[in-house]
Amino acid sequence: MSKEGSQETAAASMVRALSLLLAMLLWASVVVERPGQASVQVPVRAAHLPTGLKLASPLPEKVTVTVRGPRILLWLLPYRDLSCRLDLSGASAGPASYPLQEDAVLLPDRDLKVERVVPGFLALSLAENR
Amino acid sequence: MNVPLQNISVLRDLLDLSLVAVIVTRLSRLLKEGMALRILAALCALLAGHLLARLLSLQAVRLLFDTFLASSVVVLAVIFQTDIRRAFAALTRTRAEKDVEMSDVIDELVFAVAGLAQKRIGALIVIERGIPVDSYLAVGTDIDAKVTSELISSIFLPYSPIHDGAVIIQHGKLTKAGCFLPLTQNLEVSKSLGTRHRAAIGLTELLDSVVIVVSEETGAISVVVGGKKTDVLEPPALGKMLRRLVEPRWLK
Repeated sequence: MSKEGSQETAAASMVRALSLLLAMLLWASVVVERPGQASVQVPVRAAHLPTGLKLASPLPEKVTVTVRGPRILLWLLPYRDLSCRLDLSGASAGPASYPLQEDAVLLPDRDLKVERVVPGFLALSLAENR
Repeated sequence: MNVPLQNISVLRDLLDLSLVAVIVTRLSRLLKEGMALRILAALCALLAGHLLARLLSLQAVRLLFDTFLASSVVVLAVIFQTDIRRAFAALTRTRAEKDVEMSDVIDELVFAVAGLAQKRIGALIVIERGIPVDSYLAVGTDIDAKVTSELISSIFLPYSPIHDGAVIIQHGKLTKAGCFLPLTQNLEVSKSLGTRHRAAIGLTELLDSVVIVVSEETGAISVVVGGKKTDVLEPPALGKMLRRLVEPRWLK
């Protein structure tokens, strides 16, 4: 086999291999956009605690957040630094139940949506800071 | 999801991937290999970059890759407008038109061979069929021209620098001249046969090509296929034989 001939065959094989790789990447970029759902454990942080008040009962360490969105964005979700923010603005002293809204979790991509947060309410007691 | 539905989904994905692979492979064949390699590598890099940026939620990088990917269709269409026009023209050509083209190539060959035989100028013409001949050719000069009797005759004129060796016809075009072919090692081949005939037999023992030989000594025309030599007495018989041996698909 001549050198020219073998080079042409190698180039043709490379074109075939790259065509297949391109096809797979093209297909993969469509498949990974299919919607999926994932649940992650997220720590809870109290925010906007009114001055003069403190938490009398401890916050639960983590809540379960179910997220919906393209599969590619869900793969790395467990490794992201997510947190669930409990808005205590307008809270007063004494026991009360505070809702955990879907927007309490800040997600890394706007294509991701919080489906639900479990538990949906947190029973907390606030006391005056003396 | 139950098992049959899951199977359908897997089959659909496989079909999807296979169709994409076929379309990309067919499109890449429209381009020359070097160009196809560069374009395919660039598109693969853009798609891989897009996937990585999406995975890591890098919004700005993703915007950049998506812009390049979206504009790549227009860029490719502008760069390859001539190739695209040619491909569409080939798609819309009728079978009758293709047959006329095939007939043109064979007519030109027959006319050239008849002229060379009359003047007792030796010639060796290889017509590639299903198996590519490139791997079996030594040296040679790239030509890539339309097959015309004038061109073939001038190549084999004794003072032409590329008259020694074979002319190669691939996909209906004269692609190379002055190529040396592997000689036959068969001891049963008659000792009266010269180098041209031995080269024609040698190549056709390895490949399915059709080789036309014009003897310098006698001006006789022979057609060699599968290591077997057939003497052709008249040019019209050569045309008839070539039309039988060479299918239109090998000349396009």
